[in-house]
Parts: sequence; structure tokens; C-alpha cells
Amino acid sequence: MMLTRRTFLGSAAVGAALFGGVRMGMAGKSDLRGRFLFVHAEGGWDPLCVFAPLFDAPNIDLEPEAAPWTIGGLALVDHPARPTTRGFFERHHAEVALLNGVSTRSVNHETCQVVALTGGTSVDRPDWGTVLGYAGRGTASLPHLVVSGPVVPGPYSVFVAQARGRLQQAIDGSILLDNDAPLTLPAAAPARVVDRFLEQRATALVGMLPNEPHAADYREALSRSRALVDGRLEQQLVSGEDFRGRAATAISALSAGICRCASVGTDFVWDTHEDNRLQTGLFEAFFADLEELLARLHTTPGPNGGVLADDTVVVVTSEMARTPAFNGTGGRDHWPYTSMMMIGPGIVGDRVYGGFSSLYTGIGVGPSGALEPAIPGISAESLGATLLTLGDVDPQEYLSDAAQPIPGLLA
Amino acid sequence: MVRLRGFVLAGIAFVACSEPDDGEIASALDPVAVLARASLDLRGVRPTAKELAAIEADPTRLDSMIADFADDPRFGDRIKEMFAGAWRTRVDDYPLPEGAYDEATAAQIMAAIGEEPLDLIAHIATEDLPYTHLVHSPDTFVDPVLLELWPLEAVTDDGTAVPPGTVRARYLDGRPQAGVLTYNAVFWRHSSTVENANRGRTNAMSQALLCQSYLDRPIDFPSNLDLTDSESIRNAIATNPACQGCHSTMDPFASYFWGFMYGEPDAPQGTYAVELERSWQVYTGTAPAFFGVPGQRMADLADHIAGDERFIGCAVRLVYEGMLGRDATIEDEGALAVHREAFLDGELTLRSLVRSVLRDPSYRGVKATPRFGGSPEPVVRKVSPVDVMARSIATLSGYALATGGRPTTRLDAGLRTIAGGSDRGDATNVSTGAILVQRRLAEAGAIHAVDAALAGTDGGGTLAPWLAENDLQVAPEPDALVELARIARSQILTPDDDEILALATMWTEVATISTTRDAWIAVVTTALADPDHLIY
Repeated sequence: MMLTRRTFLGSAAVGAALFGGVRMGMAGKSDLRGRFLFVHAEGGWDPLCVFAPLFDAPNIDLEPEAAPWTIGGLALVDHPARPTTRGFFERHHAEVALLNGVSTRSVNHETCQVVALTGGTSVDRPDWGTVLGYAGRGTASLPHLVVSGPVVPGPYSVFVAQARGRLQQAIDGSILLDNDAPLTLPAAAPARVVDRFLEQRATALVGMLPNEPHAADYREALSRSRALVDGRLEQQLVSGEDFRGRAATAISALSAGICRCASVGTDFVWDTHEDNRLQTGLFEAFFADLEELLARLHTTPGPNGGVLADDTVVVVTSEMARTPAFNGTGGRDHWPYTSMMMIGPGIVGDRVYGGFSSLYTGIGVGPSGALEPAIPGISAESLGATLLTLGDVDPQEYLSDAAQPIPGLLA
Repeated sequence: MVRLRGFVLAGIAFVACSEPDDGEIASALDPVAVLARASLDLRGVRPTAKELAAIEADPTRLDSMIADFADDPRFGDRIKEMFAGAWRTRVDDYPLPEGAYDEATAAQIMAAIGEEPLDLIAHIATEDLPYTHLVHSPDTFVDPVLLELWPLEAVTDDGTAVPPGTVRARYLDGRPQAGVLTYNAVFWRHSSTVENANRGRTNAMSQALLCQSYLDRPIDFPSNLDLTDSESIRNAIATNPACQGCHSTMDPFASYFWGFMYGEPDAPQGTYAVELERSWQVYTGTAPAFFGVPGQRMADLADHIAGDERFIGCAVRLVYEGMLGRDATIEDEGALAVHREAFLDGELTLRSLVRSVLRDPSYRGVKATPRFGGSPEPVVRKVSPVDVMARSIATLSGYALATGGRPTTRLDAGLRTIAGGSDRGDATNVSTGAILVQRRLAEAGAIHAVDAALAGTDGGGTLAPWLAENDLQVAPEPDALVELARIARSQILTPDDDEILALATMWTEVATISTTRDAWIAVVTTALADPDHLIY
């Protein structure tokens, strides 16, 4: 079934429709597999630095000292200035599913982001993290926590919270103290009484407007906002100064079970139009951060026992790649076929899925899992179908019938 | 439990009908609800007690009263907000010379830049100028702080009013005089590189002026197309049919903007470079034109845009969507045609357009078929834009949350994103973040207003007189709570309404576990945190 905008209207109402009208505040399944941590390398990284060893293509410029390198099942690009990147793959290649030739169908950052995250160009369709979070809304007060980076909530705004800005201060109330005209904080006990009164108002509103999706959404959101405030002593939902800080926030929220999905961006730093050598430093810092992130997942308890790494899939995206030839300033411009990575349980790692042609266009994956030149790259919908399947969500609820998981990627 | 009021239940029943030709306007909302909706939409505040009383006494006055809201001085601000998402200039930061300004001045400058195109729209709206003035105005209306930053000179008023906090000014650097097409703010917000050749800017202009985005069209790059270097890309853009679909009109449009090309895209200049206007000859070889109509300078582009039917249609769409609180769909095309006609009949004044939408059955919650066809979705409830919610609560309480002199709810680094807003406009769905933000604004407002009243000072909000009339050492009388609902939520309740009884019980409960001060704060908080402020 393709969800239209009309059927999307009113997320709580949609929840009731899709999941059989269970109680709004706790709608959704509680036995879903997995958590997801989305990492977005914003601005468009250069796969030719790491993921796309196209040394034999005459029209494709690689860096002077770059060399082909194979580790396990991954064919990569190595460079003496990128030892951290090399080290990352030496240690983690077995866990990494590398997606090459992913088509994001544009050369505009925002459009590419929307395509990469939703499979389409319309912001009416929620992104993968939001869909997966929405499916797990029964167990998470903030199903999709966006610590930083892009998000397309579509009609599921109720189930997405942005930590950018002063979310934590809104949660703990300290924003009343920290502004141009500070005030005292409201007393806690009276606030509880106010909560109860507003819940009554929300219930009355839904009773008064049973067919009005905004009313149902209001009641749902009120309940979730209260759950957030109640959990404030345990959490610090802040969009930190650097990537590691933001990733730590995301991991903390996943660990506490506040969210099923978390998204973190690197800041918009990868857009190297003028000097592509900057990509080296970016990749080195990024893979050091990713190493740290994976280590944290292996040591941070999950909400249901074990550690987060047991059931958390890390999805690394960059909305676009960069042109195969250097431009006049030594930079590379925007390119619509990019690379992504998936790391974690439930996927077959140590493999490259998809590829690039000699013209640097995408090559898709055939039913057998082998490269299929007739398929122009891995579609974002196929990426989405893979993620949704991995998260126990039927892709056909959101995507076209043609969207199928990437063959061979799911364990 | 809260008892539901009969008239509201009756009032929300859908009414399927054809749009009336004239005279009586169908409405599924009661007159008070329409009054409140229109007041929030056109003034950003709730109706006054006097206005509510007038409607209660004579509901037939509704149409003339809400039409008059467009004459309110605050109408300009609301019109700005309806167009802000199209221009996207309200962002937290603009690149200023490092160390040139202290923090407060920098904050003021960055806020001022974001308002430049919007203040022209406010001026057009409040002075009943034709909407085409948007691309024909020789002047700009800016916060005086920008006179120091950009090559601007304040000019003598022509007798028309300027938007609050602005001065009428004119650029002195020889740039063409073509309204927003020549405003620094637009080009600072939408930067370009030489390689991009103003294409991103062109798309931003196309979106804001024509409501058409080239990026709505997905690109499926032919896999056999050689795009591996700049030259082959240029060839493809010029010759490949798939590329030409967009570039044949985008690139000539973009050639008008070379005077705003900056040496460093991240370090925009204040001065327009007349000498760069014809740089298209060097970089793209594509002469300026607007959808096939050639031109020379920006003034030509302005004329072509002003004469384009899409320009008018886009204004209609933005106002319609802004007032209905949802995106227009194919089912709204008939209604849009009705309002376009009214806009043209009204000589392209935004007031004529707004007043037409006020009469739209969908705006009043009625399912109706416009005379040009379609089946628009009626708006039974809409989600408040962040600015409207914040302003409404601040007006009631006298307290506005601000950071560095700027409204915290207008900053992404503050509460805007959390509440569902962005430079693209506001979310049209309820979010958990919006509820959180509303609650904090409500608490802040309540604490400020009650403490001011306890101190015997004027808190500055419209609730202040009501608080002053009450003895804050004792429980409120039911009549006082009825009055609170009236002032704060535009709801007409009675002393024996269950909601009033529940509110009185709440006061007692809080007073028992805390203080009478906290009990009054709780009562006012509930009024300001009520769903009526978020969905209306």
C-alpha cells in the first residue's frame, strides 16, 4: 500500500488505522527487532577517496598517491595520508556492508537528502528513521531523536524530536532561568496538577473532535512530552558542540530506550568545491569518530539487557558524492551517485553491494546479489526497503511495490 | 471531567454544500471560533473581550469585523510570516566580518537581514500597493542598523507608512531598482559559486516568486551520459534533452544575477558589482532571459516576472496555505482560482486576497465545492505557527522569551526547530516539541503575570487587568475563571461548566500542596498551555 498524503494526515490517527486502533499513547509493536543510529556526512563526501577504487577509468581522477586496497571482501582506496581510515577497515571490515552507486537523483543538497532519507522527492513522506521510530512508538517516548543533521518527519512530527536548539532546557525547564529576563522555575508538585488538567483537556478535545487528526495528535504529543519531562533527571538531550558529543547523546538516548532511532550529523563540512584535499582530514576525523561510536555501542547497555551493539544498526549516509574530475580549483562538485555503509546485526558485512561504471554512474544489484549493469545504481527506495525490513516494518506500507531490499544484504 | 458544550459539538458537524454565490457565508465553526481564528491569523493575537461581546450580541457582525482585522497595524507582521517560508531569510546567522560587531549588535544585524524582503511585503500589504511592487520597488525597508552595513541611504518618506522598526532606504551602488530581486538579504541567504552559476539562487527565486521548484523534478541521470568533467557537463546541459528540461529556462534566468557573485561565497559583500553583470558571457555563454523572453538587466526580469500569471498565482497560494494552515492540493485549485479572481479584482492588494480567503468555506470548516470545481479539505482545526503561538501567549502574559534580544522561538538554536518551525516555515502537524515549547512559554508567562500582579505592578499583558481585579490570596470565583477562559482562549463558558469547576478544584489542590501564588500560576498556566493555543 502506498500511503498518500491524505492517509498520512494525523499521525496518531494513522497509527490507529495501521495498527488496529490500539490505545494511542502506547500504539505500536513492542517486540520489534533493532535500533538504528543514522550518521549523516553532510555536504557530500567523496567516495573516490575511500569507497570507489576506479583506477582504470580514464575520465575519473583519483588522488596522486591513492592506491587500490582490498581488505576482506571490501575493495577500497588507500592513501598514505589516511592511516586512521585504513585502520578502521582493518578492524571493522567484517561488520561493514558497503553500498556503492546509491542514486540520490539530484545534485542539490536538500533534494539529495530528501531522496536519500525517504526514497522520494516529497517532504510529505517521512524519513527511514522516523518510519522505524514510529513503528516502535509503543516503547519509546521519543521514537526518533534527531540530535543533529537532516530529518524529514512528514506527518509524523509527533514522533520526532529535535535536540538541536534548546531541547534539554525546554525539557528540564531551565530555559526559564537562562534567557534575557530570567524567571524562577515553577514548582514541581503544582506542575503535576497542571499536567492532569491538561490531560483532561486533551481527552475532552478528542471526544469533541473524534475525526480531527490534530486533536488525536495533540493528546499523543502531550503524553510524550510529559514522558520526556519525567525522564529529565536521567537524560541530557543536547546537541553537543562536536560530533562525538552528539553521538554520545544519541547513544545515551538509545540506551535509555527513549528512542528507537537516533540521527546525528557531522555538520555541513564535506562540500569541498574548492579543495578536495580537505576530504582526507574529514575522512580521518570521521572514521576516528565512527570507531569511537562503535566502541561505545559495544560497551553501552541496551534497554533490554546486553549492549547496544547487539541490536543497533549504524547507517552511514552522505546525500551525494563528488564529480569524478577535479574542477579548476582542485575541488569536486556535486555528483548524484554516492556510497553508504551499514554496520551491525542483521546484515551481511564484509561485502560491497552495487558499484560504479567507468563513467562513474551507479550499477545496481541483481536478484542474485551480483552487480547488474542494467540497473542504474542502488535506489534510495531499495535502501529504505532494506532498512524497514531490518526493522520489522513492511516496506510496502510506505514504498512502491517495486522497492525491494538489496539482494543478499540481509542476514 | 470536562463537559463538552453543546454548541461546539453542533458547530463542528461537517456541512457539505456548494459555495454560496453571495451574501451568507457557510460556516461549520461557531462565530466566536471564526473570530478567534481570523484574529490570530491576521493580527497574531486573540480577540479582545469587547470584540467577543460584540459577536455574542450580534453574530451577523462577524464578517465585517474579521474583514477589518486586515486593517490592524499588526496585519503586516502576519503577512510577513505567511511569506517568510518562501523567502527563507529568517535564519539564525549571517556571515559578518569577524570581530566587527559586539554580540548584541551582530544579533540585531542578523535578525535585520532576515526581515529585508519581508518588510517590503508588509509595506505592500499595509499600504494597499499592488503585489507587483514586490519586484518594482525602488526602495527597501530596513532596520536602521543595516544602514551601517550596506551601501544604503535613508530616503524621505513618500507619505506612506513604513513597517515598524524600519526606515525607507535606497541602495547607492548602482544596482538596478527591482524590489526583492535586488535586495542583499536574498543573495546573502542564497549564495552561489561561479561553478553553480546562480542556479541555486534561481531556484530560490522561482520558489519564492512562482511557487515552482526545479528540484521538484527528480533527475534520473542517463547512465550512458558522460558527465565526468566540467566540459562534458556543460555540453550535456546545453544539448541533452533530459538536462535541457530544466536548464533551458533555469540558466538564462540565472544569468541575471551575476552582479551578486561574491569572490567568496561564504563572505558575501554588501556592494553590488555592476561590472560583473555580464559575466555570463565568460562562464556560461547563456544570455539572460525569463522563460524564453530575453532581457538585459534586472529591471527587465522584474517586468517579466510581474507579468507572469504564475507570480500572481503564487501569492494566492502562499496566503491561502498560510491562512488554512495546510498545503494546497489539486483539490484546492478551484478555490485558488476563486481567490485569484478576487486578488485581480482587488488590484492585487494583499488585503483583497486575505479578505477573499476569510470568506472561503474551507477556512470556516465547511466542505464545499468552489464554483471552479474541486473538493478542498475543510479546516476544522489548524496548527498554530510558532510565531503566532508565542506572540499570542506573550500578548496575554506580557512576557516574551528572548535570547540576545531576539525571540527564542524564532531561533533554530533556541526553540524554533523544536516547536516545528524552520526557515522554510512552520510544521502543519502537532509535534511533541511544540507541546513542550508551549508549556514553557505558558509557565513563563504565568509566573511573570502573577508575580507582577502580586507585586502590584503592571505585567504588561492583556491578562494584567484581570489579575489586578482578583484577590490573589484567595481562590478565584467561578466568574473570574469564566472571564479567564474568555480572555485567554476566546471560549465562552458558564460558571457551572464542568471545565470551570475542574479549574476551581485544581486551584484548591495546588493551594493545598503549595501556595496561593503557585495556585494562581497554575490556573494561568493551564489557560496559556491549553490546546486552544496550539490548534485553533
